[in-house]
Amino acid sequence: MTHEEIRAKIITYLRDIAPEADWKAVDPTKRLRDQVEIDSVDFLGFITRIYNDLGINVPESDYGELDTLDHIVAYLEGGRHV
Amino acid sequence: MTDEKALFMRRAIAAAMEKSHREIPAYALEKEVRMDFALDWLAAHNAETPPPERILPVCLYIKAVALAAKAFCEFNGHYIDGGFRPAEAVHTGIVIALRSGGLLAPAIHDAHRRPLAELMKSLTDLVTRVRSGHVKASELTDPTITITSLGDEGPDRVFGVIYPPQVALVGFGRVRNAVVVEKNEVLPHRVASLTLTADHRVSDGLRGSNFLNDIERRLRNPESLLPGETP
Repeated sequence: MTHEEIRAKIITYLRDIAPEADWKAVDPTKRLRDQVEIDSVDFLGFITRIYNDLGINVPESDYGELDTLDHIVAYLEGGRHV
Repeated sequence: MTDEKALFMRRAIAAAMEKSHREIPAYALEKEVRMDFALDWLAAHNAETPPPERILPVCLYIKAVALAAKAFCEFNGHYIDGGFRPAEAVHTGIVIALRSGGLLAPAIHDAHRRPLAELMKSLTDLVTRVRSGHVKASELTDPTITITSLGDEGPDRVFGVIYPPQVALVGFGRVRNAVVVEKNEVLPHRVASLTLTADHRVSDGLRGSNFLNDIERRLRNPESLLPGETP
């Protein structure tokens, strides 16, 4: 998948979690949790969606790396697959 | 959520909180609890499981409180018509915030009897339905005790307001690093503040203190929280 395809998918998943947030206004370089209300249940739902749809198993120890939109896309491009 | 719905929700919360403040003589207790045992155990469990089967710390909180509430019945039930009615089962209400503001605290039924994995599924399902507005009225009146946890970015401790006619609310502050003195050793550990707000018509501080001690013991022994039990 291309960088743009990954980014588009990630935004779709996040939109499904927080539909009322203004995703166009989200700064991809700043912490997501500072801009949109995402709690631990939401985040695990997001990780589960990545696992089910993209086949990528993000271990808990890597959650900290997925803090900004840019970092999430970069991580998934690195492609650690199940 | 529409403005009208949000206003309706805010009014309902206001009515409940006013009633609580007016009618319940509440006392509050706090205990700082070491969380490393529970969190290390959880990390090891989650490292071996794919995302759909991972368990969140709040699930451990729910199970520990539910088991303790089964043992300490003055914290599990309802105060109605001038008397306390203890409940047979433990249906833990869990406070779930709505993104637009407002909150609901629906029940996870029979939390004391169910395995952690099932509690996790119930929690995820509840959060989804709260956010999409598909919670049944009965789920909001079924809780026999309520738990509130404001998460990693939350405050160090929370003293909540009891949701009438319940008689207790257990709060969890954020997990944080603190220096703990235990057996003359001074060491940094991950801890969380565990709080109890309880109805003084039904229980007193000594029982409340023992109730918190029981929750702490269970959180220090997370393996004991895994299984369910047959009724």
